[in-house]
Parts: sequence; structure tokens; C-alpha cells
Amino acid sequence: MKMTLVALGVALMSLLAIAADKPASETYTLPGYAKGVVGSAHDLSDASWRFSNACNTCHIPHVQSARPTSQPTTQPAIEMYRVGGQRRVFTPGRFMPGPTSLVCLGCHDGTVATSTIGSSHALLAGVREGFDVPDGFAWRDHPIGVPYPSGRRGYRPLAFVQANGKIRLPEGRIECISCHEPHNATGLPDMLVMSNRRSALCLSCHVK
Amino acid sequence: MLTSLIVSQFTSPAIGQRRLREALGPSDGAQQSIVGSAHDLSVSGPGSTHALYEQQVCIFCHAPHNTTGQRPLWNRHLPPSHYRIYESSTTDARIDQPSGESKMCLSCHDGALALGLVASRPPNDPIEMSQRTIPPGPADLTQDLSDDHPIGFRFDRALFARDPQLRNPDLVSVELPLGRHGEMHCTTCHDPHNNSRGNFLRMPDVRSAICLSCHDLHGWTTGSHSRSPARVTGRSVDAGERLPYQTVADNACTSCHKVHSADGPERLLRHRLDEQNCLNCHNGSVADTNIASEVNKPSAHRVELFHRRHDPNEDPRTMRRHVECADCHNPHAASPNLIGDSARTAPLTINPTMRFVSGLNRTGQPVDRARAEYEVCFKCHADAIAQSRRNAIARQITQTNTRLEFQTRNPSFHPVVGPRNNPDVVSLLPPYRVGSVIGCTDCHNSDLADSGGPAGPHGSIYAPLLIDNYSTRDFTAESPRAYALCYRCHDRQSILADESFPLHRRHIVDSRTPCSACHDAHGISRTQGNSTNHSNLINFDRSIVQPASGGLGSRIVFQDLGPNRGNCTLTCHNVTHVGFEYGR
Repeated sequence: MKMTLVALGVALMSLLAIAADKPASETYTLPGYAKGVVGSAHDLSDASWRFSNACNTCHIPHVQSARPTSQPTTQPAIEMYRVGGQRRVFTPGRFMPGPTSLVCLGCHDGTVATSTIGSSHALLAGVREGFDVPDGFAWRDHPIGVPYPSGRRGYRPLAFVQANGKIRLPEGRIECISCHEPHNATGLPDMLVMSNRRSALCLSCHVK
Repeated sequence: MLTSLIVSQFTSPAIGQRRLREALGPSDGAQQSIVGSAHDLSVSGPGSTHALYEQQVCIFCHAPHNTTGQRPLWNRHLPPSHYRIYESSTTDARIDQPSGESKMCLSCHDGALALGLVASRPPNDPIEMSQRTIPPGPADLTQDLSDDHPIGFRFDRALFARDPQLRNPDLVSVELPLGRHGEMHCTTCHDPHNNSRGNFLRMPDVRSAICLSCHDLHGWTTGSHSRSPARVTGRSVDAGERLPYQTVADNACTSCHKVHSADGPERLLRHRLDEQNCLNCHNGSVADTNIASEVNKPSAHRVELFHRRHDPNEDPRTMRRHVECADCHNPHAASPNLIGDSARTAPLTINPTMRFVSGLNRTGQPVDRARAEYEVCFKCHADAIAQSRRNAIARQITQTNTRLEFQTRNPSFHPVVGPRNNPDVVSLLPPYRVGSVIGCTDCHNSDLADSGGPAGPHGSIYAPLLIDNYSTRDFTAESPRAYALCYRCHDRQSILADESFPLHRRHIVDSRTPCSACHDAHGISRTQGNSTNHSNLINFDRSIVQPASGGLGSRIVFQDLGPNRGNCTLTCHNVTHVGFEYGR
């Protein structure tokens, strides 16, 4: 995997500092940079730094955005997605991905640059209107934009989920960032917010 | 809710999580979690089958992304194969190929698909496992599901209406969820995430609580198998499997049935041979009654001679010749034999050991539930096309249909089907009297029936399966033992004192003629004889009695001339009677 190519390290550095320090000829093997967005899979900058840097994949400086997170370049509209889920837990079609998840889906909805992102590892978080829907398509991903069903049978109480401070539930809803930390702050595989060893992340919410 | 009350008390998240775990107690503990259970296939899983590197537990069945699209985030490819499905002559369910959740389970448990092949990873990069597929053993159901409890049928009201031995599906415990259309799935009995009860069962199965949630067997609760305290521990009920509980009552259904991989696929019997399911306990090991030694006696219902012949749905008139334990006993309902041998005036009611067994009534019609003992015997020994057409003794007139021998309108018969009022019988020992009724088992029974052995016509050292000795050989010296069977009811002193037939002593003692030379014990059917020529069970043994010449040619004739009077025309022991008349 791509993550394993990145050297081990612990410090999360200031993005500007890293950008300034990074020599043009260096690859992502510098010790001390395994955590953090630079050198991660989310660092789409090219080696020459002429066109991009690690941040402006998603964030554009000096552009006012309606949202706290700066406007990503390819943010889709909410209406483009269908959110699934178990009928007994969520009402189908009632919930939509939240604003933070839309930032992720801008790239990860399986319709953008599929030659690069669309490997079998890629996320197909939903179906965008107007694109071909595979035969027998059904919801293939964990629901997002849905309120955490605290207190329901099979789910742990909200306090338990939030107790370790790692799982984030924006406005009480499950979003991409509930499980993933897109800046690679943890350095874990799949940019998870916590280790999923023995499925600890899954079982933080699910009583199984 | 209790949970929310507890939660509200914890303000510090770090402490809160730990306290919460303690507060929630065992219901949220490791015991009930899939982590550490047999379904934990991660590298830290407990079994011999686990991943070499993969640390996640859920991933073998569920994934957050790129799943197959089936709920619940199903991560395995469903098996395309067609399974051999359960078949039984007694099931009323319409069983189809497994579907839905069941196929999810079978994606590992049919032993065909690779365990590490998951949808979220490319097919050429499966999770590396210590074993490629599920290893042979109890968890490997194979693609032959004919020896497993059926799945993929609808347990709905229609099925309930067809099968009187099922419960109302509306009342089945919520612990055992059926599919959206009432289909039975693996997940009806099993919770794949919770192994706290063993075998991932959803309920404790002591006394077969799970089975009996749906199955309502006639006579089960009052039968002895559901209540038997007999211990099975340390006894070889099944050499291949240790039963989960210590007594027959606690093991209940599993004493004789296996839900999965049953050796006897039809009706999921524990053993391949029908009788083995009974005799494995009834051989002196677990059960009090040792039937295994009985059925090996010289004259016996030899259940081991037949295999796959018995069918609970068989028509007794057309079935092939066979005998199995289940022909006379319903193991669900059987109860200990408590009926004494007192004299009766109505046909012997069904023995508790033979409750809820089918029969053939006196008119020759099959009945679902025999009311009298003889109805069970008549299944094989009456109109059955497969019954023996040869009697042990060749007589004047031959009748192989036992039912016709005992009809109450016959000229003479032993009172099995109904009482008979024959004042000629003066030799009866109390409590028997004219008008009494006896049962088949009063004569046909184990030789040990009187001495505390297992009662019932399983086997005897006396042929044909008689409770006591009954000599039929010519020139038998009279003794209490020679005709012990007859002397059980008929007073030897009275007979030898010629209180009935005035020449009994001359024939039996002096000439050493057996009872059977003149008497046919069962009876003479009314189509073959009348009260003049075949009263008093007279039907001569042709190996002893020969025709006599005289009058209208060579004949054997008995003529009844009233109580204890008559005449005979025959040759016997080289003595010829022609119209020889006797009377008191």
C-alpha cells in the first residue's frame, strides 16, 4: 500500500513549514514525516511544486467560503447522493451527506478521475445523478449524514462513542470524518481516527 | 433508560468509558462479543482457522466501503452453487434453495468458498488465512444440506395449518427471528455475533427450548423422554459427539436428532440405522429397559434386519415388509408401561409405551392414532400385503389375516377385539371369566415379562414370540411347563379333570397330543367356518390329524352337538374316528 511507503515518524508539522522545507528533489521518505498530510495519499502536489501544494488539494487560501472548511474545487451538490442504511435504523432517502463529507465526496464518489481513484480500493460513496448505475446496484458503503442511533439496540450510547475523543460526530451525525482523519494525523492505514485492530473502531459504536 | 442514566453521570470522557464498560456489565462484556469468539478470524482469533496478518474482525463479513451492496454492508460473495436440500416424507414445508442471510453464512460454511475472499479487496489479493476454506468438521456443512435442518422455507400460517405438529408462527419467541416473509434462516437459531451460549445459539437449548419453540410434538410434554432423568454422561449415546447436557430430559431432541450433519438425513436422526437411535440407550446403558437383548432373541421383532423401509406415512396395507421400533412406538410420546394385567371386559386400551402410534382398526381401515393395542399389531399382521402367507402350523383351514381370525362374529376366537360369551369355557383361572377381554401381549410377550424384564413383544426365547412355553410338537409329555402358555389362563386341573371336553385327559396326558393339534389359538373366521364345524377354536393340525375314510369319502370333520358334546371323523395317532361321538 501507498501508506507503507511513507517513512515512520510522529510529528504533525505546520503545512507551510513543511512546504518551505521540502526540497524539490526529495521524495516522501524523509524520517519524521510519516504522519501528516504531506507525503500522504492526500498530498496531490507534484514534486516540482509549480502547480500545487499539499493543502490546496482541498483548501484554497484567500477565498471566502460559506463553510468553515474552504471550498474544495469539485464539491458536488447534496442532491447527487443516495444514502442507504438499515431500514429499521434509518429512513431510506431521508438523510444526505453532511458538508464535511461533501468535501471528501468531491473526489471519492467514484465518478471523478476514476483512472486514478477508481481502483477497487476507491470509495464509491454514492451514485451521482446522470452517471451509469451498475446492474443491481445497491448501497455499498457505510451510511453517512445519518444521526448516530444512540440508545438503539445494537449500538453503544453516545457518551461511550465520544468517550475517547477520537470519533467525531458533526452535529451528532456520522460523516466521513467520524472514522477518517483526512490530514493523516494518526498515520494509521486508511487514515483512520484510531486503530481498527480487532475491529476496535467498528465496535466503538456497534455492539457485536 | 438505565443506560442513559449511567451515561449522564460521567463527565470525564476517559473515565466515563471505563466506568461505562463496568456499569454495563456482562451484557456488554467480552463474553457476548464476536471478538474472541470462533467467528473472530482475525490474526488474534482463538481458533486454528484465522488470518495470518489481518487485524480486523468485522472485515470477513462486513466492510465500510466497496461491499457487495447487500445489507448489512455484506463483504462476501454469495455462493453460486446449488445445494442438495433436505427431503422428508413427513415435512409439510416447501423447502427451496437457501436464500438471504442463510447464503451469507454458507459463503463460508459450505466449505467451498475461500474464507479470505472478500468483496472489499481485489480477488487476486484475498486476506491470507491459515486455512483456505473452513476445515472439515462440525462447522463444515458441505454443499449437501440434506442432512441439515431445512432453511429457506416459509414458516407461516399456511404451513402451520398443514402441519399439526408445529406451533403458531405468530407466537414463536422474538428471540428467534424469521425472515421478512417468515422464512427460516440460519440466523433464526444462530446469532453469528454472540457465542456466549455455545454454537452461536440465540437461546439456551436446555430441554431443546429452541427446537420446541416451533415444533409441537404430540404427546411430548407428557411422554417419558421429555422427563427422563437418566444420565447420559460417560455413556456412548453417540461416539462421535458429546451431548451438551447430562440427562436425557435436558438433551431432549438432541438425544436422538442432530440439527446438522445427521447420519440419518431424513428426519435428522442421530444414527443412520433407525433402530440404533433407540437401542443405543435401550441396551442397558442409559435406559432402564434393555431392548437390545430382547430383539436378538430366537423369536423376535428383528429390527436390525430392515433399513430405510419404515416410513411414518406408510399405508399399513401396502407397505413393504419390515419392522422398526417406530412401527409400534412413538418416541416423542412414549411413556412407561403402567397398565396392570387385570382382567378386562373391553379391548385392551393402548399401552402408554405405544401412545400416538398409527394402527389398523378391526374393519381394516388405517387410523392415525391407535386406540387399542391390537390395532398396532394389525398394521403388519392383518391385511398387509407383505405379511407372511405361511403359518407355523398347517391346519385344516388356513387364515393368514389375523384381523379376520379375531372378529367378534366368528364361530370361535380368543377375546382380543371384543368379549365372547361362550359357556363352554369352564376352566378359566381368576380374574379371567367368560366375557373377559385379553390383549395380543397377554400371549405374545417377552419371556421375561413376568420376572421384571422389559415387557412387550420385542423378543422371546419361545416361538412365536410367546410369553411362556407352548409346545406344539406331537407326543409332548404333558406337564405344567409343556403348555405353560395355555395354563396361564386355563386351569390345568380343570382341564385334566375333564370338566370341559370329557376326553381332554385321554388326549393330552395319555396320548401326549399337544393343545395345538385340535385348537387354533387365534380363531376361525366366519367366512371359513361356522359354529358347528369350528366352534371351540377347533381347527386341526394337519401334520398330526389325518382324514378318516368312512361315509362320504375321506374327510376330517368335527361336529358341535351342544355344550361339551360333539363327534369327530378323523385319523390321529393311527386311531380312526368315524362319527365318533362324545358327551358328558
